[in-house]
Amino acid sequence: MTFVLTVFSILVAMGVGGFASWCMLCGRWPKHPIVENGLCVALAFPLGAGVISLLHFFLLPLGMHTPWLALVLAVALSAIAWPFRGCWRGDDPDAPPVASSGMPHFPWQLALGMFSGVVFIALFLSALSIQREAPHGAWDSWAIWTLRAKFLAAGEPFWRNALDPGFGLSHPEYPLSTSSFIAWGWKLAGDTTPLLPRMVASLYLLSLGGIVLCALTLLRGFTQASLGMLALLSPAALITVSAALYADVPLATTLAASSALLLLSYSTFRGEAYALLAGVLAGLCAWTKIEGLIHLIAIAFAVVVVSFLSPRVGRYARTRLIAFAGGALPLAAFIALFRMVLTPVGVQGLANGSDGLRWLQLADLGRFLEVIRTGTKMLYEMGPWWAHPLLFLLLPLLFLGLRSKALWSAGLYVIGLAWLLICGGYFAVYQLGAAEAGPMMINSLDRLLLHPWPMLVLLVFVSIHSPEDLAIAVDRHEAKQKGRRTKAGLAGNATKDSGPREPGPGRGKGRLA
Amino acid sequence: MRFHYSPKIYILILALCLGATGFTVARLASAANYQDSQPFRVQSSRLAPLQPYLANAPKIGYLTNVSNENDAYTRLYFPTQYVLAPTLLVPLQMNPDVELVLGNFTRQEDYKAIGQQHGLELVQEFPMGVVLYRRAQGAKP
Repeated sequence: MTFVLTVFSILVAMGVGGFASWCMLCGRWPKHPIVENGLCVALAFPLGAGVISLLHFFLLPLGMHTPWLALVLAVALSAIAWPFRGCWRGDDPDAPPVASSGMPHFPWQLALGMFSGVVFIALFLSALSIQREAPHGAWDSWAIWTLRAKFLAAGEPFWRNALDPGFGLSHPEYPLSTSSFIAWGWKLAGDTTPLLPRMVASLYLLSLGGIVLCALTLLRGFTQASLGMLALLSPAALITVSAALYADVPLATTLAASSALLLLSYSTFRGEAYALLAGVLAGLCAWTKIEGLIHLIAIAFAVVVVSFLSPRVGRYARTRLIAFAGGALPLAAFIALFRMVLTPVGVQGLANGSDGLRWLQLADLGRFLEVIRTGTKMLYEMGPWWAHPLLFLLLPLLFLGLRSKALWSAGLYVIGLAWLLICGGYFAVYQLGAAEAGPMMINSLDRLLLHPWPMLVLLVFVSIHSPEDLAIAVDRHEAKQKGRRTKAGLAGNATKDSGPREPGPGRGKGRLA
Repeated sequence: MRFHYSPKIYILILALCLGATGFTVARLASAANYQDSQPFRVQSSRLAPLQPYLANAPKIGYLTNVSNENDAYTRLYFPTQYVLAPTLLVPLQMNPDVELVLGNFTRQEDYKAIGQQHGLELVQEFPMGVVLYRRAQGAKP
């Protein structure tokens, strides 16, 4: 029975998130049903689990401990999306919602896709194998995340232990997305089975792959998405950190979801629904890990800057800003309430822990050099030199080349700026943190590098040509006679980019099909 | 219509596939050799006799012979805390307002005397360095 209820809790979360995202993004008339519905499935768990965890946690101080109430509220929230299904669809016949027809055309494309799929499944199975060996995860899991879930699942007065100053060794100020969701699932199942944290970790990993695959397929086609998947899976830490049941992969997934939706929002006719969900997920970043606060601030700042300062600013960018704010602000309010009111005195506010940030260290050149040196070393250690993650980005960049800037949507600028701000934020934490920089980086940087990695993969693979762009179409008969060669892939690329009406490379008649 | 891809496209895809095959094989091998650094079976059985005493205690004190400046302190504290959750273990140096105190020791010592130094009286001594104390009458946190 415990197993059935555990699976039920997962399915409920997926149902809530999947239904809301389906209503918002697909609605009545999905243009590319397989990929768009696939994106909704991939978004289902991060969205559903995040919202349920938030509701579950904020009902606790009100004395409402039953998991069914959070469930009913989450279902009611997702039902609000029902009347809006299809409202934001790009129903302009001249403006298909996405830049590419997406699906594979040739057997070798399918083979490449299958290869990426096999790599993903093999790595996923290796994560399951590690989980089986260590069912309670690694240090941060049982010292922070799952431990706090045990407190939250135990009802009054035990749940308060998760925020008790006596819990200071274990960061009572940390956000509670995964802990609160696991606690909710445990309450529903009536047992603190270690199976649930393992399922949560696995589902976040699966969602991450699904989000990157579907978003890149929609934005740049299936081949590009397959190559992007290989790049996504290349960091050595991705699988071990996921299997360790840490909150880093959930954070990377939520950040990737928010970034992918923003990219789609600016490439789509009437993409406000994407921007709204992107805002919700950016808010959930801040509810997942303390670094998520940096993500929320960076993405919000980038959306505002691009909306007002982009040379190609249009009304569509402003409507996306409003939609993003509509999604992010309610969650930001909850997180502010959590940080300012519920966390113990001494660790409130934005500073991480009681030591906070030491601004005088900004001018500490020795520390600066140590941060750079350790950062470079750990970046190098992200994978073996012959399969280093950066190679999976640099080689496509070198071989395929950047697309013309005229084809870049405003979304690329938003995500590019947000990525830079996030990296700058992490650097600032190491430069200004109270602890010694070297040991602090060695303990955390391999995990922190995972957070913006999927975002970088999306950025690179959206900005470069796809193999199809560079293909040469040859008419068999004419080729025999004249050896005539025509470039097909770039046929549509001369058109000016205009945000939501961005014509993708080789889309429609100009494409290889 | 036929389509030709430049040889560099094939080279790129081949290179990425080879790299991906390499890291996949390496990670499968590493996963097969993975060993849990903290098997909780040991801690669970060590602390099991204590559980009935803590059933309704939201928090108890925590006392150990390991210095809190030593890494071994957290290596001992967190697995114990994880097994005993949802009861919170508050280190005695934080002066918690608690009735019961867990002694978590790494070597055999005079547990009664250690307790007396902190105003605690011994309730029960369990195997493998686990001791339950209660605040002595009149002792303040």
